[in-house]
Amino acid sequence: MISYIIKILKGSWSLLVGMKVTLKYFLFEKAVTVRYPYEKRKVAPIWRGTLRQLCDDKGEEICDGCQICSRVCPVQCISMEVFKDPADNKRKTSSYTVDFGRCMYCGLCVESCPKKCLVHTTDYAFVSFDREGLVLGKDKLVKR
Amino acid sequence: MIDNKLKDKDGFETMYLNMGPQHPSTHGVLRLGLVLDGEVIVSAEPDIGYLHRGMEKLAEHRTYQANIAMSDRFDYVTSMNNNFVVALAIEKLLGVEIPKRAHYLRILMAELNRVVNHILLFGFFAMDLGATTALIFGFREREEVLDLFESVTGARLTYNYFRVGGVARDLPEDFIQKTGAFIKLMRKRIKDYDDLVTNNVIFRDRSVGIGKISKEDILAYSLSGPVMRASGIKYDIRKDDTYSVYKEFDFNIPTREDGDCFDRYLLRMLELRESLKIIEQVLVKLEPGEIMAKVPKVIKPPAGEAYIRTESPKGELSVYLVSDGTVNPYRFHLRAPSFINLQILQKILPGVKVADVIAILGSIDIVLGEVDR
Ligand code: SF4
Ligand code: SF4
Repeated sequence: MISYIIKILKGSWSLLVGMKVTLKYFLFEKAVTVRYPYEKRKVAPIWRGTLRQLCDDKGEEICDGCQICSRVCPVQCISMEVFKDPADNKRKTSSYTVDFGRCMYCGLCVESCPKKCLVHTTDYAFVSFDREGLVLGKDKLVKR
Repeated sequence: MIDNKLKDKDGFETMYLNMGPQHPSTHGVLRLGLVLDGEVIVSAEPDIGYLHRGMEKLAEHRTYQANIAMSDRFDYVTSMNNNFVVALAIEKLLGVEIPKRAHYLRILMAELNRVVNHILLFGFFAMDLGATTALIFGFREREEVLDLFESVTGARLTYNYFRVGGVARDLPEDFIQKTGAFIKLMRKRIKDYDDLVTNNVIFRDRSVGIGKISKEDILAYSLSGPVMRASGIKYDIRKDDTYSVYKEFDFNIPTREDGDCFDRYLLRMLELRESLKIIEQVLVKLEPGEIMAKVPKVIKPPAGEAYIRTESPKGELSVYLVSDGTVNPYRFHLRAPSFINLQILQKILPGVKVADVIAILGSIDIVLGEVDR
C-alpha cells in the first residue's frame, strides 16, 4: 500500500517535470508552426518542383530534342516529337509533354540536359481536378 | 489466416481481432491477426503486403542511376541510408574509387538521417504509449534536419542525393554552420526528451519488462540493428564490417542488456548521441575537393555480382546486385531490416496484453515501405 502511494507521488512528480518542459516552450518560445494557406514558408532555391523549359534571349527555345532527358527518366514521363526544321536545318521538338502525375521529381532529367534548358521551379502546390490536368504540354512548359 | 476456433486454456472460445491495416498505431498498413483470450493474446500473425509495389522487379527495368532514385522509397524515413547502400553496391560492381569529400558527405547525410529516424522513433513510441506532446517534439526537431536536407538536395523526403561515384551537389555555404547549430540545439533537446519521456514513471511502467527478446531469439530470427543491441549483442556493421570511411571516426556502440521495450527505446536515444558525435567529427574533417569520381555517362558494370551490407537506423540493410553487363541490373535484392525484425512478433506477442502490442510494435521500429517493398 505504502509503495503504491509512493509510486503515485513519484508519477505525479515526473508528470510535473514533463509539464515544466512543455510550459517552457509554451510560454517562452515562438511558435514553430506555420498557418499554411495564409503564411507560406520559403523553400530552398534548389527546390525540385515542377519542370520548365527555358528560352534564350530572343525567345527561341533552346531545347534541340536530343531526348536524353526522356531516356534517363526512371518513370518515362517525358515524351516528345522531333523534326528537322528545313528553315535553319536544326533539330527541334514539335511537341514536348511531361506527365506530372507520374513524375517523381527526382531531378535526373534536369541534371542530364546538355543544353541546361530544363529546370525545376520552386512550385510545390501543383494540383489538378483530373489526371489530364497534370499532363503539361509545350504551351505551359516553355517559359518565354 | 489463423484458426479462430482456437480455444483458450480453460476451453472457452477465443476472439479474433483484426488490428490494422487502418489502425492508427500500426505504423502504416500492417495487419495483425490477433487471437484473444480476454485481453491476453493467444496467437498473433502479422499480415503484410498492403504496400507492395514490386520494387525488386521494377529495379530490373531501370538503369542503375534510376535505381538510386527509386531506393528513396524503400524506407521513406531514412532515404539517405537507402541511397547509400545502393550506390555502394553499384560502385563495387563498377570498381570505382570515390573522392574523399564524397565519402564524408555521404556519412554526414547518412548520420543526419539516422538522427531523424531516432527522433521520429522517440515521437512515435511515446505516442503509442499515449504521450502526444512527444510526437510533436519529435517532428519539430526532424523539421530542422529536413531544412538542412532541403538546402542540399532540393527535396524534403525523397532526396536522391547519391550518385554512382559520389554525390549530387556540394553543400551550400552556410550548411556547416547550420549543422553545428543543430547539434547544439539537439543536445539541449535530448535533455528535454529525458525529462519529458525517459524519466517519466508512467512511461517506464508501460515499457520496462515488456516484450523481452532473448539473445537466443535474436540469433535464431537473425534480428539486427538496435533491436539486437538492446538485447546485449554488441554488433554494428559500421564498426565490425566497416564500409565507406567509418573507421576514421571515433564513436561507441551502445548496448543494453534486458532487451525489453524500454531498452530498445533507450538504445536509440544513446545511438542518437553517438550519431551527433560522428556528425561533429565529419564537420571538422571536411575539406574542399572533388565530389564526383570519373564514371562513364552510361553506367554498364561488367557482368558479376555484389553484396553490400550497411547499418541502416533500423538494422542491417543489404543489397545483392547481379549485373549481366547491360544498362539494367539482372537481379536486385534487398535485405530489409524491418521485414526481418517484424517476424519476432509471432514469437513474443503470445501472452502479452493488447495494449502492450502497440508498445512492442513501436519499439521494434518498422516502416512498411521497406517491409513490403
Ligand atoms: S524529375 Fe525525374 S521523374 Fe520527373 S521528369 Fe525528370 S527524370 Fe522524370
Ligand atoms: S535533354 Fe534538354 S535539350 Fe535534350 S531534349 Fe531534353 S530538354 Fe531538350
